[in-house]
Formats: sequence, C-alpha cells, structure tokens
Amino acid sequence: MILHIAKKEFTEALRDSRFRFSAILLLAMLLCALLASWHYYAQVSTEHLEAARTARSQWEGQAAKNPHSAAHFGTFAFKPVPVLSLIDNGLDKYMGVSVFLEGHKQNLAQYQQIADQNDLARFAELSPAFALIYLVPLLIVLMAFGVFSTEREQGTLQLALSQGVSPIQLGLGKIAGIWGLLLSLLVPVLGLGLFFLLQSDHQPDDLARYGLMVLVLLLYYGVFIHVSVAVSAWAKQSNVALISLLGFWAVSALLIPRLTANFSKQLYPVPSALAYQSQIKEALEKGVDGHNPFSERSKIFQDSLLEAHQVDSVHKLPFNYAGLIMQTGEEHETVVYAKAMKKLHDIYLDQLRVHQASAFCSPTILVKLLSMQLAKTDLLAHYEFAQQAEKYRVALVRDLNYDLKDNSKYGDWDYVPKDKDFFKKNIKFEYRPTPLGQTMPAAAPSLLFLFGWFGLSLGTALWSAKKITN
Amino acid sequence: MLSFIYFEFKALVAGPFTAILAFLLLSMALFAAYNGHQRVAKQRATLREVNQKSEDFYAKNRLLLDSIEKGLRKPVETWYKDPTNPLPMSAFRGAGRYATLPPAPLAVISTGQSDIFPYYTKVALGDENAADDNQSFENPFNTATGQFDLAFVLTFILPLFIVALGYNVLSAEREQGTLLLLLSMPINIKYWMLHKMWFRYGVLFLSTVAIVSFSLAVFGVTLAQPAFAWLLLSIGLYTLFWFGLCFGINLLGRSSANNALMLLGAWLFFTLLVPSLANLTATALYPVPSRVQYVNALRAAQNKAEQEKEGILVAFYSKNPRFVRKKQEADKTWRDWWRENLAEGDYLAQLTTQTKLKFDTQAQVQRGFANWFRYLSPTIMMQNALNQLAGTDTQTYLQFHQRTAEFEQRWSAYFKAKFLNDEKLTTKDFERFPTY
Repeated sequence: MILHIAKKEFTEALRDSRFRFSAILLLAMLLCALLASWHYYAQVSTEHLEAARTARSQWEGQAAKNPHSAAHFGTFAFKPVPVLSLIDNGLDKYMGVSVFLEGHKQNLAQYQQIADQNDLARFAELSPAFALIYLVPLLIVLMAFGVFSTEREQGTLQLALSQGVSPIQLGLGKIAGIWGLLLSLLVPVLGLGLFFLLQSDHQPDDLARYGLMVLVLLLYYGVFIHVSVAVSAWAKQSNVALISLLGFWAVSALLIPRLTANFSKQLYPVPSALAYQSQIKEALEKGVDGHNPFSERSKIFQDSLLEAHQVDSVHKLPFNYAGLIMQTGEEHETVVYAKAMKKLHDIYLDQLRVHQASAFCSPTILVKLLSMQLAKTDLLAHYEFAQQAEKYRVALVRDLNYDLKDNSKYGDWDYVPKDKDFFKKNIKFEYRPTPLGQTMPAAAPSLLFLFGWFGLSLGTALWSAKKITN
Repeated sequence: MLSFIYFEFKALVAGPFTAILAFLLLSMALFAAYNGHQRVAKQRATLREVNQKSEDFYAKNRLLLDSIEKGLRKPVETWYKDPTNPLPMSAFRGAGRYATLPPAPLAVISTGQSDIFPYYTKVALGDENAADDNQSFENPFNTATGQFDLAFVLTFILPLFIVALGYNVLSAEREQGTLLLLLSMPINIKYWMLHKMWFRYGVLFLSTVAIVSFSLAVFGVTLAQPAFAWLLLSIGLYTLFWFGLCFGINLLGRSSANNALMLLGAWLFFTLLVPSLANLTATALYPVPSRVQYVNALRAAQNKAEQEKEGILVAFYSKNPRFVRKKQEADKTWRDWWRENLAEGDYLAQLTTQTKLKFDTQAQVQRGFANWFRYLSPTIMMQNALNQLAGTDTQTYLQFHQRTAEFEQRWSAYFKAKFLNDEKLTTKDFERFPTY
C-alpha cells in the first residue's frame, strides 16, 4: 500500500512542471558547483604542494649564516587543502593559508582568501555544500508542501481516506514518495562526488568521512521531509503550508545562524588584537629574554648556571651560553604563545557551543557544523594545523639554537655552521591530517541532536497524519 | 478614495498578521542596530587607544628632549633611547604613528567588509604594519555566517515581509470568491489593485522608515545628515522594486501558492543565485593569483636581495661617498648597520613592488568584473549602497590601504633623510613629523 502511495506521489511530482523546472535547475547548479570546486581543488592543492616544496628549497638554499639569524629569517608552513573541501570548503576562505615560522614567536596564519575576492563572495558561494545544505531543502519543500493540503483542496483526500487506507500508511507513503524523488536526483550527484574523491589523493578515512557527510545530509533532508508532511497535514490551504515551510527554511538557514553569531559574540567576546598582543607582551616580560642578557630573569638564570658549572664567567662554560639562553627564552616564549592561542581557541569553542545549542530551532546549523567538521575545513582542523606548524617551529628553532650552543664560541656572532648542508639537514615539516577518531568526539553532540531532530520530526509527521481531518 | 484607504487600512490591521510583522521588524531592527552600535563603539575605543599609544610615546620623548635642550637633563647615552635620534623616533621600540579609518556617521547600519579589513595600522620607517596588531580575532565561523546588522534586515528580510504582504493581493480575492463582487463594481480592476499596492507600499515604507529611524536614534545616530536621506531613498526604491514585482506577478492571475512560489524564487534568485553565480564566473574568468605563490615570490625576492647584498652595498657606498665602508663586522657601529640595512631595504622594496602590484591589480580586475553583475540584482545594489553609506565597502578599505602606503612613504622619507644626514631631532622637529 505504502509503495502505491509513494508511486503516486512520484509520478505526480514528475508531471509537475514547477518541480521539473526547479529540479533541473538545482541539478545543473549542483553539477556546476561540483565541477568548479573539483577544478579549484585540483589547482589549489597543486599550488600548495609546490609552495611547500619551494619554501623548503628556499630554506635550504639560504646564504650561509649564523643559525640564530636563520631562525629569524624563518620559513613558511602552508595549509594543505583537504580533499573533501571539494564538497564543503567550510571556513577555508576565512582562515589564513600560510604561517610564517620564525624564532621567538608563534605567528597567526596569514592571507584569508576572502579579503582578495570580490564582494559577492560574502553573499553566497556556489559550492556543493551550499547547494546541498541550502537549496535542496527548498526543493523538498516544493515537492512536499502540497502532499496533503492540495489533496484536501481538490477533495481527493476524503476519497483516499474512504478507501480504507490508514492515515499512518498514507503519511508513510507520502514520505517514501518524496524520498524516492529526492534520491533519484541526488544519487547521481553524490556518486559524482564519490568519483571525484576517488580520483584525487585521498586519505584512507576520507571515504568514511564522505559516507558520514552523506548520512548527515540524508538525516537533514529527512527532517525537512517530515516537517513538510506534518505542516501539509495541518494546513487548510496549500499556500499557507508553503509560506509556513519557507518561513521554517528562512528561520533555520538564514535568521537563526546570524542571530546566534551575534549572541555568541555577546556571550563570549573575543579579545581585540591589541589586548591579545599586550597580554602576550606582559607574559613575555616575566621570563627569560634571549636577546636581553641584562634582564632580571636572564641574570638569575645565568647565575644559577654559573653556580652549577662552578665557573665565574659565561666565557668559561663548556658551551656557547648565547645558544642556551636563546633556547631558554624560546621555551618561555613558546609557552606564552601557546597559552594565548589556546585561550582564544577556547573562546571560539564556547561560541560554537552556542551555535550548537541554537540548533533546537535550526537543523541547518547542525549540518553546517557537521559537514565542515567531517570535511576538515572547520576551526578544529585549522587549529590542529596551527598546532602542528608550531610543534615543527619549536623543533626547528631548538635545533638551530643547540647548534649555536654546541658548536660555536661565546660572542662569536660571525659563526656559520661548518657543514655546508646544515640547512638541508634541518627537520622537515610533515603535516598529518586530523584522523576521524579525533573529529568524532567533537562532532558527536551535533550528530546526536540531528538524530533527535530526525526522530522527533518523523514522530510529528506520523502523528499529524493520524490526526488528519478533511 | 478616502473610504478606500479606510477599508484597506481596516483590512490590513484586522488580523494579527500585520501587527506580528511590524513587531518582528521592530525587534530585528533594534537588535541589529544594537549589534552595529557595539561594533562601532568597539572600533572607536580601539582607535582612541592606538592614537593615545603613539601620542604618549611622542609626548614622553618630546618632554625628555625639551629638558635636554634646556640643559635640565643630560643627553641620553643609549642610542636607541635617544629622542634626538631619528631612528628610535621613527622605526622601532614603540615609535611610529597609526593610520586610522574612523567609522562613518552611518557605520552602524552595515558591517560590510569591516570584519575582514583592518581599520588601523601602525606605520613606522619602512613598515606599513609595524605593530602587527590589527587582525580581526573574531571567530571565522561567525564571520563566515555573517552579521545580523540593519543591512541584513533591510536587504534580505524586508523583501520576505513584502512578499508576505503582497503575494496574494489579487489571488486571494479570487480564491475567496470576492473577485467576482469586485468585478461587478464600476472600477478598473488593475487600477484598483495598483491603488491597493501603493497603499500597502506606503504603509510598509513609512513603518520601515519609522522603525529604522527609531532604532538608529535609540543608539545615538544623528538622523539629520545627508547619508540618512540617501538611506531612506535606498529603502524607498528597494521596497518599491519588491512591491512592483508582487504587483506584476499578481497580474499573471495564478493561484496564491503559485504566486508565493514565484516570488520566493525571485527572492532566491536575487539574493543567493545571482551573487553566487556571478562570483563563480568572476573567480573562474579572473582568478586572483594564489597567495601561497605570492608568499614564495616575496621570499624569493628576499633571497635575491640577500645574495646581491655585496652589489647593493658597493652601489650604495659609491653613490654616497661621504660614508666609508667598514670591512670588519666587528667595527661596524649601529649607524653603519642601519645605513646598510636601509639600502638593502630599498632594494628589496623595489623587487617586491612588482609582485604586490601584480597581485593587487588582478584582484581589482576580478572585483571590477564581478561589480557588473550588480545590475542583475537589486539586492546586490542595495547591499552595496548600504555598505557605501556605512563606509564599510571594499573600496573604502582599499583606499585606506593606499593612503597608508603613501603615508608610510612620507614618514620613511622624512626620517631617512634626517638619519642619513646625521641630523639630530629638535623639539621643533617633533611638530613637523609627517601626519596621516
């Protein structure tokens, strides 16, 4: 029975010119978006690989110099582009692409792409995620707003109910019919996405991530289908059903996210760059400054060192004191920056939790959060990259300072490493992408909420179908 | 006519619908204005802070110099703390002056690009961002989501309200069966509908104006200014467009549901589809060169300057024979070191100017191309207009950047000349420092 009803919905929608027009338009846009982002991904990932190689060869090819001068000269880490960004590029355009790695400080990633793009990029970007998260629900509304209300208006609802079909079966049949239509449209697109994914340089867990992304989307579509069926069952007129459903979409996709963005800022304000810098400066002054041997902290450190080695001057130490004090200062600086960065990141996480909490009136936020988490284009993935770049910076600078300490004399700033290949032998930056096991704990609450939405909306839809009156 | 207005008014206020819409609009406008007010207040406070910072620095050093000139204090021995020395007064250790972009009088209405581009930057000798203290630390997720500002309410939400008020003006009469009644009256149905639309337009426009004015006035924005008149004009035209669209679609004589669909399709088309397709086209046809390559190009220039150091120095000393080059590193004083450093800096600037120019030009070409698409969407035009009125459009920030670069040139030239001529700064010079 359910199958019959589903078939009827399917055929009827296919005959509707409005649906045909919108579906073709949406499909065309999805394909456009996929192709464009595939092209973009291929280009950008090559660029980043190349850039990373160039940066390394620039490091290795730098003129012979004192290792600590090399630490000031610095190098760059480029953020690799995750392959799933071809489905959802998340926050990638809003976060810097390169981090300058130098001695003494942890720099923030620089050059957000959004600042170089035309203004229209701020409106909306035609990415597959945009079409899948914002536009497909609209198509669902279009398919489903009239499933009960139109029949009521045409008088066929009474007819159907008099045939002995239970209202629940009727509801399930309508839901199944919409699913059938939706899947017949989406399966080819999602398949194409999978094809692109397989064609590119993907990590083993990327396929699982893609599968989860699809699951999240399907749950989300389920919510829209259920809500549409429920509203259609209650609405006396089709246009009321349509307007209410579009209102739901606008609230979920447009209004709540922006409202929450501002609320989260009010609840958990981020420090200004000035405050951030001055906090760091204050904390730095409390430790050893490698470039200022006269500071109080440096003196205390020096005295304790002289005592430990039982000598009366730094010249008599068995190693170059300059290298050690640089490294000691560096270790203090590293902690100061790491703390500041963590504090900022924690504020971001608090703000994201506000977004997550607002999901009780917006399933769209959940999907947005989940989709970029799974695609590794969210804040966490970026933070993870920044952390790895920082770890690398610390290791590199340590190697440089220790070379100074172990192989040169105190006061000899003209020292250059004897080994011509010294810079070539320095540690290399290898980025390890965030494993799925690390993403899941962060994604779990949102996923749970989404399941909640799915279940509740399904219950509401069936209950509404049961209560249906003519 | 009067009776028409009377009945129309009664019909409009009869249900709770209109009241709900008005209430929603008012609360959204107030919240949006509050957000804008917070943002602008923060901006003002930050600008005060940075200006104070550099003022304090120069006031302190001027006072010190004054005492030295009057013989009350001994000259400062340490060169990098000496207020007569052009270098510590222009290049490092807190020296430098901030270039600032104060918020426009109507800045409250639109966040625009203000969450992406810096509005202040510290200019020091040879450096346009000497303190590196002007990044936005806002959560990228929030920035990407967009702000709840008046511009959002006016460009995105208001059209939805108009659609809700106007989608069934004619079709409802048909569906309720009152159209026949109307047709039996001695009136032209199109004129009747036009009147009805004009009336609704008037009510909506006036309420919007009242709500926007009230929301702005609550947060202390002066309404008696030309920009505000432009704001009203923009709202008037933009809402007129949407009412016109409703009118046209009603005339097609389809059902209410069909009208609603078409109007929401139009909304989607103008607010999301045109901008996103235009952006896609612009990025595909005129891609901005990649920043990662840009970073590497700058680094390559740095390497080149390093390798050609010897040549640069030889050229510098032959051009400036009054300076004698010291062979041993150990013999070099801070003066020698800075002279050579500045000479290298000049050469590096020459190398990088081309790279920067190429990048900026290509970005500008893409912006120019994308800008053509605004004629396809009143929503883009409205957003642009509001950004311009708020002084938060891209061009304002690019001009700010441009003027900052010019200021840096003036600042650097002034102090470099003093340094290379071994001049000492006097308190009178402190009055003549280049200003932004």
